[in-house]
Amino acid sequence: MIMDDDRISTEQAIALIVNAAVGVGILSLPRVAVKSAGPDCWIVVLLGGLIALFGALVVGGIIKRLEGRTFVDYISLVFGRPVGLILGVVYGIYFTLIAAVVLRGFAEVMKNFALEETPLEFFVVTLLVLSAYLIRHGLEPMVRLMVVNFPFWFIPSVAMLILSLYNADFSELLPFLRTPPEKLLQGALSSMLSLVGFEVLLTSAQGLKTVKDVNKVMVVSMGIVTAYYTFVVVTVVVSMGIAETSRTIWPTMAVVRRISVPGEILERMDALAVALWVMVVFTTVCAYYFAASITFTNVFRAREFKIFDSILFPWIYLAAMLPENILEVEDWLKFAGNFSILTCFLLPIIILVAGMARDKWGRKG
Amino acid sequence: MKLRKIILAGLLSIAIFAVSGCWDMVDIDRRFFVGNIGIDKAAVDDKLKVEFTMPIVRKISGEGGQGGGGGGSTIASVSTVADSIHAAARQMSHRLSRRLFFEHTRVILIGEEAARDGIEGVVNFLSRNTEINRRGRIMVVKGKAEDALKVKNEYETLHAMYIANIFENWMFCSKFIEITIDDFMKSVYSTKGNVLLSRLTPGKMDVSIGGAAVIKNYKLVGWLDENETLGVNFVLGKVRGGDLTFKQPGEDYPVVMSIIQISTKMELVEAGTYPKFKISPRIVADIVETPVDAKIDGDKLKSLEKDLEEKVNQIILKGVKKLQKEFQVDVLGFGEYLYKYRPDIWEYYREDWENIFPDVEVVVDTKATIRGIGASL
Repeated sequence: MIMDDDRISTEQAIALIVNAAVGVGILSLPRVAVKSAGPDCWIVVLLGGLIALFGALVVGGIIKRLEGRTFVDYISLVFGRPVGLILGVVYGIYFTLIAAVVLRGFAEVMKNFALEETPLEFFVVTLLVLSAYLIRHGLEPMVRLMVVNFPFWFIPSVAMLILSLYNADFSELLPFLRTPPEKLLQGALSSMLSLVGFEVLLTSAQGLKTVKDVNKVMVVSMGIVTAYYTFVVVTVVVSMGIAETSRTIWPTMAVVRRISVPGEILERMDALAVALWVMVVFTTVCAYYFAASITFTNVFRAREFKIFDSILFPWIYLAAMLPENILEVEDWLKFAGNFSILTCFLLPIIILVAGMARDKWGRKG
Repeated sequence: MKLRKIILAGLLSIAIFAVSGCWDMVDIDRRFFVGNIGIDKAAVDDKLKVEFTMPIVRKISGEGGQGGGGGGSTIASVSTVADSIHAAARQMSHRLSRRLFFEHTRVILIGEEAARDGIEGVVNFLSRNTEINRRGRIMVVKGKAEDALKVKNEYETLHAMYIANIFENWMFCSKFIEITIDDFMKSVYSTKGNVLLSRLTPGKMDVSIGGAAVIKNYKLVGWLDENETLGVNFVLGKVRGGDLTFKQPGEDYPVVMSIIQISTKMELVEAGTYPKFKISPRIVADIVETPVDAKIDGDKLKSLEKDLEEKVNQIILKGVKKLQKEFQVDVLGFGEYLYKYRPDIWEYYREDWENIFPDVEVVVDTKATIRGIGASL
């Protein structure tokens, strides 16, 4: 049962998207960006942000056309029921997959930097149980937690990265614009997984109080996400150098480890970073887990979405434990990134165009 | 109601597994905090002799008067022969009652012979390991790392702190390479194995850090002495103090200047077959000592400044020439400068940079200003 009051305001929607988008990318995006564009990595992120904003506005356009219907119902209306169901399942699988790879990425970091002997399964299960518990209460309580959570990871993480600038070498960002444009574009696409997050609003859109403000939600949240990621990438690259960034699996973590405030008041901040990391990942997993359950609920037209919360639990766990090692996790992340290009850009554009066409000519024809 | 209580009790007992403990708990008295790691070439095969030193906490704190005082060192050191550093740490578990713990490692010493064979192993160990403190120091020992770790200094309880703290004196001499493990990793990756590391020379009672080890392609190729290192530091703009001594004509007693501040600019003057670089350090210095009868006035300051500039030019050229002619390795950032600021020109030289670098023409143009003259005219 979706409660009547289970609706979110514009600000809450912004918090939802930002929390969903900022996740595993914090630690790995600098490497991804540097690998494809070297010193022009920050342009890659900005470009990726622009592309993501475009996708977000398309999604916003769809949300405006829902008019109270669920997303799956809307696709069914436009393309017919079978296609609607298939696309609904595709989106459901996508959200499940993202939740799983994010969880696994999270567990790998925890194992490497904090708790070496603890089994991976344990990290995955504990965070998953907590997420399952939270989303059972519905959209609004989950988003409320995200709003409360937001300053607690945002401010310390920015402060921590500013501290790491003490021996920054900004000439690492030179030479400027020597990367061929197609490489920049390629890099922008490969950093997409870190930047997307707006698609969770597609399926949660019934809960949006002010649908007309959806464009504002998209612009503001994508602005925050892009600015944050650009900041992360630039600080990591200037304090670590291009060459080492591209060889380190989690460069941001390595940068945090080297922070040393003169007088050794603050040193070895990785413990704090790991704590922030748990919060960041937790909100991302929740957002996608919730989106997955609500999508399957809509596909099966179930009245109770909580049941899908429980049904998805083992599947997310299994998908998270599937990769054998970190390299396979990276492959999964790449796969999920390509998947997100399909679900966040290609499909929404098709759906929006088809929907507009239908509005114009559909009834007559 | 009863059912609920049973379920609650069941849940609580499950919670024991989740909240009561930690897989990773190792009590502090079950750990050895490794302070130094020394790496030498072993006499047999291609193996490494790895040495770890760690403080014996019981003796340092002198708990209950039973441990301390009496004798024996406060530092324990153990060594083993193994294929790699990690393998050595693992082998130690056959012999030690506690687990080796690297979070507080301050110093990594590489023996001369081991460094000549190559330091890729060390680099790889450091980049994969997430435990080592990245603010630690890494240097090459003239001779054996073992000997440096045997030195019994009288000044500090902890050997690792003794060595690491010498680096704080960088402020006064600038005659070694001020580099942390972190900076080392950064430059070793960006230059593909060409770096300068500090040189440590073990003595009987103490060690001396000064000069530099030249690493080319991950292998030690030779040494720079103290003054050459100072010259290199001038080029890199990394001088923070340090004295320069020279004699003025007609005087017996030298003038000693202390450097306060420096900024160095590098510039490409000409890009012919071989590029021509201009290095221009801007120096602010204090006068520390002069001949006793020297009168310091405007003209005298001018001439002192001129002499100082001359001296710095010489020192820089000497260091640069040695790297160019003897070692032929670009650790001064000429290539990096071209790559970053003149990428078009870099395209032209890049392929053959290793052969071009030794013939690069370098001119030095120092500008010195004397600010303080001490408390005497």
